[in-house]
Amino acid sequence: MRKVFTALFSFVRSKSGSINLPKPLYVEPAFTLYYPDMVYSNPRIAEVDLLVIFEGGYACVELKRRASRAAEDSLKYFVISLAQQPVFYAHSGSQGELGTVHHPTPFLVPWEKLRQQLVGDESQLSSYVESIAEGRKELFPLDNFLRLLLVYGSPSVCEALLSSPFLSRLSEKFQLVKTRFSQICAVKLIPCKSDPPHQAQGASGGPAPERVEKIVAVIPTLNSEVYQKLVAEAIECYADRISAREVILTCTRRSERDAVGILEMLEKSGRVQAYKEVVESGRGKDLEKAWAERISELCETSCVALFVGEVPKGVLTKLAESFARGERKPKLAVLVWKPKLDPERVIGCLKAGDLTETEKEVVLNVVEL
Amino acid sequence: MSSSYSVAPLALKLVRRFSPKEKRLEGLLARLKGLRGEAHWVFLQTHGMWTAGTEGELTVEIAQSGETTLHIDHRDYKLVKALESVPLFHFAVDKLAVHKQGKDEVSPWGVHIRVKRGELAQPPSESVEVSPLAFLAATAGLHRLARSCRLQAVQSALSKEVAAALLGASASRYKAFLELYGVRDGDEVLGALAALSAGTVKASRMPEEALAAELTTAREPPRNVRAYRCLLEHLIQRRRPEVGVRRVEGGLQLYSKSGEGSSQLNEALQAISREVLGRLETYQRVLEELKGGVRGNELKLAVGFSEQMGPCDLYMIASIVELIGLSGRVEATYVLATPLSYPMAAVSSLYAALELEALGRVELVLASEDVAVSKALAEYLADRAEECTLVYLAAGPTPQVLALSVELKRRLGDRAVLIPLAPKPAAAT
Repeated sequence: MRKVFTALFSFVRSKSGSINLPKPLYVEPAFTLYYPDMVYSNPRIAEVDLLVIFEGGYACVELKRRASRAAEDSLKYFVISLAQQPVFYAHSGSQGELGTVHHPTPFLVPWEKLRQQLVGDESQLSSYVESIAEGRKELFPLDNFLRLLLVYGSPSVCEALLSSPFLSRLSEKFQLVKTRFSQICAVKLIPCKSDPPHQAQGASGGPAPERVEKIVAVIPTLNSEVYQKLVAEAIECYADRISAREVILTCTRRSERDAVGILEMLEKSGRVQAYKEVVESGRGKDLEKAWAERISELCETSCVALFVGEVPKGVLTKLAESFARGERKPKLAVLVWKPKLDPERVIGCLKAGDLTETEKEVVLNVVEL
Repeated sequence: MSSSYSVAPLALKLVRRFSPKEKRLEGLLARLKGLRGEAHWVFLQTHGMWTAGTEGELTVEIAQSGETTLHIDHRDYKLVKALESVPLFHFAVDKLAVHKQGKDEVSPWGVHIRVKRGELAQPPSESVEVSPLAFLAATAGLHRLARSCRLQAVQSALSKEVAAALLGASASRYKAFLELYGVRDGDEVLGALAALSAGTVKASRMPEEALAAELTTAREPPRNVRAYRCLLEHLIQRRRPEVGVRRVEGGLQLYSKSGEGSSQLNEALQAISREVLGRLETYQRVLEELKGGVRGNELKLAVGFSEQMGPCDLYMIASIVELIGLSGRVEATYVLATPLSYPMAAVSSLYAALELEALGRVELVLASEDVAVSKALAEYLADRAEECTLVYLAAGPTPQVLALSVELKRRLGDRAVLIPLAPKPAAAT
């Protein structure tokens, strides 16, 4: 059953250092996994320069400028006994420096030869990377989870999850999800309902942003100066994008400190006119109601309500109810993490055999509802 | 009590039993239903990635310092080492003790490495049996999700007490989560409280700022470390806490039902009550709002499942549904998980599907906080709520709650009832 996976392990290494691998179904450069907590922090779990997907398994390839670095890096994989991650290394430097290495050497091959075998048609890879990057802008947390399943999930868990009705619906709706489904099915040897698409289509681009004048940001307690800074940067970036020049930061007494922190940063850069407004519970009104009503009042026609962090759920449900009653219904937006991946840069780095600086960070971005 | 006994660690043994009553389930829930208790622990430890079983028994010892030692059979060495090595997984004990009895028994990996590390040991002489949830609480690390697991374990162990205190004396006829595994109430309470206290004591040694950044606003760093330390000492020395829950002005309160050493214990329990049970007061609001205005003969529930929620939350919802006479009207419950809450949501859904009949057919829906996914989820739920009322209990990440609330209202109008899972704020007078 796992004949191809077995073939991967019994690959032939010739005297010139090249190897003969079975033909991969997919090759994904700059494959990064994050812990699935997408609210505040995004600690990276693993970074793989090239994830090579075969029927029945996958291989991780690390690209090294210097062959001697491969030996050091390979030590970190020694403890992973059951995680099924055969790692081999490709280097774009000279073979001669290996004589000075003090560790056992991992399986190391010249990148140029491996590139010809794995990548083949570069334009095909380029369009695949572009479609993945585009899809991840829209579906970052979900795609991250499907990647986790691809790498760590047991076949039985994957099979049970992939057959669930909602995930099946998502795979019909989003090309990225469909691609991940077929990759998971191939790696775990699960019968796949959909045809395996070899090249995914990019996600559909949204409409051009409408002009708005004012952003009403809803600031709950954040408890982190780093997060305040990220929020301020995201607001500025968004204001630039939609040509808004005024930002109102609504907060409560509890979250006032965070609003002040963001306000100071916005004032310092001076790109938008910003001020804060503290909402308090009024006579006969609880704080949730008072806050929801104030947001609704502040949001006029050319305005966007931007929700940051963990806004109290009561405020959100009350706003949804007031919009449904036909009261003001502004444009709504939320802050979410998105990966910073430049497909052209990835392809360029891949040619050079060095992917160390590709998807190094995720940034907070505004997404409109 | 001898002094040697008073300092001996508390040993919790993971239950291996799991033989639920026959019920037709689908997908992941069907898969989990067929597995033994220790596989549920592996599932939770591996963030829902693996469902491997173990060859031998697993026991975790909790010392007064909060230090934890996992005792395993030598045949499970590779599995446990793998759980330790993957950053996604939650497993993190301080020490590993390996048991290998009999000269002739062959170890899959030989004993040399274990002798080198001093890991070979005798099994603990006595232990109490706990559910996979309490065992997870004792063996998970110190990160934000692990703290949520510890609180969920205590809440789950006391779920009947909480429901009775919050909703009324005979709140529910349903089995608690631990009964699914045939675990005794007292043992589960002991294990869960010890795991929570040990985790808090250990976390208190970390730099405060680093911990605050990890826990964020959804889960603040514990404020009563002294009380947790005192509680851990008491639990390890006395071993039999009879902990109850009562409703007092200002919320729910933990108290000691036994007279022995009660003043010190009561003080510690009261100090941690708000942190442990405060969130559950939200169900008072759910009770009031559900009582107030749900029209229609047929209902469907959509429960946003945040990373702070566990089996106790579904028990509370089922109790409320039964208490106000809606049980025959709830046709289905959709448990809406995110990648972060998915393993706990899966195990909780399994429990609900098997035991909480008031919730109707239970479906685990794995979604995410992406706006596009949340809109697709609203469409999926609206399709399933044709000609019936959909009650959305809103919890989870802001983008999901906002998108779902707005979209459900737009699609279903008055047939969408939105109830936030948050305690009711007081109105100013």
